[in-house]
Amino acid sequence: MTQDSPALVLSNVSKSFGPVMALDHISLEIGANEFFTLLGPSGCGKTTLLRLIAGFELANSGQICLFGKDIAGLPANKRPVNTVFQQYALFPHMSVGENVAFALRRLRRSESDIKKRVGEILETVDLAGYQSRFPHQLSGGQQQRVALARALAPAPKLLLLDEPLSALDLKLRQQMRRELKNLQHETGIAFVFVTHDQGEALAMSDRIAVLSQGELHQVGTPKEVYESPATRFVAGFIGDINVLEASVVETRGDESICRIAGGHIVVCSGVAPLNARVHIAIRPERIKLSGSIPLEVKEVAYLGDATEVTGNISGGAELRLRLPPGTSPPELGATIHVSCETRTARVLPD
Amino acid sequence: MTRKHKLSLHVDVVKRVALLAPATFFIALFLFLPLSLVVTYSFLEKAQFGGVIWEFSLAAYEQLAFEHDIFTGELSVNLAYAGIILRSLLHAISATVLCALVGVPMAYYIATLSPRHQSMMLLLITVPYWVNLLVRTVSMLFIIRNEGPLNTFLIWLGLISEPLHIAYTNTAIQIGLVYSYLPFMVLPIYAAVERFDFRLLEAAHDLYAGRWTALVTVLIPAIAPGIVAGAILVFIPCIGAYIAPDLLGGGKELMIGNTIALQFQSSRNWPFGASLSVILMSIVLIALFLLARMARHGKGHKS
Repeated sequence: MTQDSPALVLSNVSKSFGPVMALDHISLEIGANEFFTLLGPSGCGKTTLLRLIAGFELANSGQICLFGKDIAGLPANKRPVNTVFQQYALFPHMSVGENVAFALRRLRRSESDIKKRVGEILETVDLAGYQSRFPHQLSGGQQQRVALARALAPAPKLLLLDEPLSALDLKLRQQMRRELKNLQHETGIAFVFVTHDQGEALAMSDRIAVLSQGELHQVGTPKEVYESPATRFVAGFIGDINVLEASVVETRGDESICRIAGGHIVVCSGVAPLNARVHIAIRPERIKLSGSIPLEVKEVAYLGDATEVTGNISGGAELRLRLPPGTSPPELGATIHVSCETRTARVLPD
Repeated sequence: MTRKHKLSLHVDVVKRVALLAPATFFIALFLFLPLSLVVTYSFLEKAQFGGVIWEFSLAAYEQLAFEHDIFTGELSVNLAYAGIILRSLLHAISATVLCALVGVPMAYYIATLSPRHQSMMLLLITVPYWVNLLVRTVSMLFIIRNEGPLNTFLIWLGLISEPLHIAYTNTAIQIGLVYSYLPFMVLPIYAAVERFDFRLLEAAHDLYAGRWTALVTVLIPAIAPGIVAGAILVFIPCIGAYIAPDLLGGGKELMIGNTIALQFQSSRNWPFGASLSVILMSIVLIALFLLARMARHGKGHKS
């Protein structure tokens, strides 16, 4: 995904607030035309990382290079990077046009340039004709677009987005996902997008960096982080997953054959030493409703687009599976037989 | 059904009247009655030893700008009172501006402290108010007089060799006014800054505004209603101030408040005192109107 020269390179960036380590030696590369997402639960350090890039906080150590130039020591107003804030932070006493023109005025562009650019950028976000409105006269979705237009107006080299969709309702959020993605293609600049919503991250990103407690767990494409989680945290955080204890009974190339509770055998991808106690992870939608593992059904939940069945396999371990629509759901208390196809489960590194 | 409805409507009206009665009574007794007395008195003839004679006269207003020669009775222009009104206006405007210049940074600083320190600072600001204004003004006189702590300290520092003659000057009046009414400026501005969303400053910073530009373009417009409220609260008592010009100004530099007091005391000219009061009220009303218009403008044409 990364093209010739990266837009942003973070090397060994650390930040602490008093005794609390908010970010611990983070190194990252963000491509010049990439939709890059920082994903993690609240308090994982993703917003701090964004604020370091924007210049609202200064790193304790490490380098932040924007197109080869170290910007770690520059204040926010000297960095060619703009931010879309979580609650938009539009200037309430300025009209939409003045909000969008704010940065251009600070950069001392000529009045005709400003006028042209403001019209142009408002057109891009579908708000042509809203110039003289005030933020409080706009809906949430429109305010969001103004915030985008304001940040994009000075043509930043990098756009930072701090959970910009979290204040919108579901319908609007899904629409804005597509629009953001399109906007990133149109502008051709890198977007760094912070979210705690894994669905959002998977749907929009070129690559995702998963953070937890100030540490970087994995950087990869949505497919990579979903299908080959690098750590237990990533496996548990992204999507729904079953984690089972197992022991490795045989290793074959990049496969491990594992025995789970009840003596059932599962062929997993990933390597682990022979006889090691490991954790294996299986996505609920990958479990098939036929096979040799008996499962006593404890709970059946209808989710609309699927039916989720929770049950115990012999030995006590809990297993969740997701049946596609059209499959008739099992009765509560019944025993069904399930299986995991070869390599759909994965040995988790500890 | 309709009768019941009418009855409940009637009860409603009675209730409303009963509830409004105390407030109406108070306003009538303490606002309209004294006000109409003042206005009425200003149009009456003065009695020789205070009080009024109930005869219509414009003498009190004539006296604002003209005087009769004692011997010939000839009418000539006298700008003494116009000067006093102008001086009061300048004093009040200058004190209001000074209060704003000190008050904005002070309120901003307090609003950025931790909540515990904030309440402590707010308490400290109100502490002087536990002491009577007269006592405070006298102690200010003590501080700024020639042998007072201020001059002693400055001489000790070597900044000056002779004591500064501050007491009984316009400067002293200004010091007294700013000292007395600064909290009225700080508190409303603090309330505005406290509600201010500091992320807006971050946003301004992000959009290439330096510190100063961010303050002027984003913070000041956002807290303008607080500044206007503070300006109203400071300007009104300042223009009618009596104690500060009397004690700190030594009664030499009269302000309108002192002049009014004088008419009711030694000059025994109640109608003239009343007409000066009417002028003072008109100035305050005009100022309020102007400030209210500014506030509406500052809010960005909201609604």
